[in-house]
Amino acid sequence: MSDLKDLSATVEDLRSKKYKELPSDLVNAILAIEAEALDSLKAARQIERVIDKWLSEKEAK
Amino acid sequence: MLRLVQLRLQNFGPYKGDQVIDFPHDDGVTIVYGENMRGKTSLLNAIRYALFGKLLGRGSNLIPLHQTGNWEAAADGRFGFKVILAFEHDGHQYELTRICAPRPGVSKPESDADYAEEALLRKDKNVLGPGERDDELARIMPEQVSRFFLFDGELLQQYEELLRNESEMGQQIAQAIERILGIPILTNARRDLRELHKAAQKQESKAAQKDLQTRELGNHLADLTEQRAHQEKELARLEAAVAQAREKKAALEGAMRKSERLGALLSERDRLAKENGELDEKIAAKRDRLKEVLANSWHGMLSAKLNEHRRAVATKTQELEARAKDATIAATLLDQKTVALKERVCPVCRQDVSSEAGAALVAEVGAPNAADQAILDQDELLELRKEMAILAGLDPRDDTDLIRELIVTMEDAVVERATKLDRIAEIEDQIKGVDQSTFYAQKSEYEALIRDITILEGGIKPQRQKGLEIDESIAEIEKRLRKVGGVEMEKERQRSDLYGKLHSLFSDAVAEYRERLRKRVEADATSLFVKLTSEPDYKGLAINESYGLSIMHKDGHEIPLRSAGAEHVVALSLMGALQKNAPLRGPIIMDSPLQRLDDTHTRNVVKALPHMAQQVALLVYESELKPQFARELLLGKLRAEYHMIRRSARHTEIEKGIGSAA
Repeated sequence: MSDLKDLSATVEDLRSKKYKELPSDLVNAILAIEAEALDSLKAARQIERVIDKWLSEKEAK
Repeated sequence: MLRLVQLRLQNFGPYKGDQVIDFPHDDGVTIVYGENMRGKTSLLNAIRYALFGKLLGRGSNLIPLHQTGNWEAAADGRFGFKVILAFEHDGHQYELTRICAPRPGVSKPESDADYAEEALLRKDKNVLGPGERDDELARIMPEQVSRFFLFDGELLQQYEELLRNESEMGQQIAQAIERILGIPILTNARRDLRELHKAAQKQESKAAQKDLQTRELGNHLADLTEQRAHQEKELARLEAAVAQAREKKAALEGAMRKSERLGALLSERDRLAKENGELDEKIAAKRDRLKEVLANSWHGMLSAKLNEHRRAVATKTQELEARAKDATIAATLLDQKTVALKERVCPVCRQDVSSEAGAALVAEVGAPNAADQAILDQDELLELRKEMAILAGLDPRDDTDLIRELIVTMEDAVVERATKLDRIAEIEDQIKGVDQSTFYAQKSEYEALIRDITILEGGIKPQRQKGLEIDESIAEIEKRLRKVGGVEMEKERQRSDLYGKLHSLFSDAVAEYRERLRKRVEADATSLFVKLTSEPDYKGLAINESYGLSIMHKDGHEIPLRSAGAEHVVALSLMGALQKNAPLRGPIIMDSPLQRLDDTHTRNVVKALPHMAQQVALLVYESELKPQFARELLLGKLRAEYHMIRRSARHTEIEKGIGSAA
């Protein structure tokens, strides 16, 4: 998938209106993982890692 | 974006030896001219084979490998074929080679089993392993969306399916459209986040079970998550069964469409036979009624005589009744005359009876009188009244009209039955030797599948409801846990919360993106359609839930029936709109896309081609699109021309330029 501009814009639009507490970079990271993924299990593991990292960084702060 | 660079064929179909097409790097159109049976469809198939390893014939049936190699080459002992497709994608150079060759030890292959296939993908000169190769190809061009890049006549019917919401084929195409538009990115994210959220809830329940304060709630939560796992397993089982049944139904619809003509004939024959059965019953009922009416029809013939006799009896009765009245009067007079003779005084005027008058009275009293006759008349009158009563009881109804109507109705039914029998015989003649059992088996299987789907869907609804109820209970326990939980619990809570919210965001995004896309596809398809159509009264296209497009008249009404040409233009409009909105883009390769179009539409379509995709390849015959006409219409956007040269019925070569028209 080469052009996710419209898709990302839709998700960002919703996030900023309804889910402000969710960080934009985390949402975009999930989108990027899913856009490249062919295997659901691999994608879920990657998302899990991204979220673990984000939670650890948040805790460290 | 996927961009074709070069296609190299070796002994593929009619292409003997090595044949090459170079696709120019600049955006625009490449035209390959070839007359019928030269190999245009084979060229499209070669690209399909390179990308997906499949060879499709009419009706989307697979073409055997053994029939794909060039016949003349095979006659020379060179069996098998090779396709090499070079392309670019996202800044990388790829070379995809597929080889189909006889298996080691097979000198003269006779079936597909005697061949072995190999596929090799180089990415920037590095050869990828089989798994990597398949992943890479699936990412660059998923097979499910190939119909939007490789266009042939079969597509037209598929687009029509989109207008029928209940059609399985339509649903599958709609799914493919959503795939090309990138919706699976969101639906997969939603699915993965849901799974991660469930795992986080499980962790939360485990953490709760470790703490004395929260153990009971933790146990309850663990129990609920377990219940939900079971419920989801059952739901998944039902959904998979429905999907499988739907897939079978779609395949069956496809197969049944191929025997559509036979199906129509058989249905007509069965309907006529049924109607003839009803006619037989109608004719038999009318015949019985006619027999019944005819049995008493002689009554009608007596009617005139009976009426005449009735009138005579009535007249005679009236005469006798009048005479009876006269006799009564005569008897009274006689009594009075007798009294006058006896008493010599008139009982009426009380005058004395003279001797002359007395003599006259004696003569009158002695003469025969009406009273004597009256006694005889009474007997006859009694007889006549009896006869009249009998005659009144006789009802000689005239059923001539009813008989005539019954005969006419019966004759009409007999003629109708004979006409139907003629048509049945005609149909029987047309389907002579055709295997009807397959059609009936398919029909019966189709009906069984519809029943199965209904039952399975009936089971899915309560399962989903159960899932919602469990989710509500889990949310309630989590709420209570969070009030009493400690530090460890807090970490798990945060994680679970985050997954839950992300899942909700992506769930909402699926619906939102889908809606936005439908509107954009409708607007872009309309914009293209208005350019392509020559009908000024058509103001645009309206999209339905499954991306089917209807033509809208300027008065706001939908055009219910459209010609093959209009269907073609709508299909091209949809393809253009999808290309414009899809995250996944690539070349459009069209096999004889103009053959159903008139000059005006051909002109409009050709002019619009460079706007439909960055790279377009047209496979046409020269009378479908004259080379000079194409050049005038495309101007600088015509990047390359090739033509197919016939060497023999089984040998075609590809050359740059326009051949005979040059």
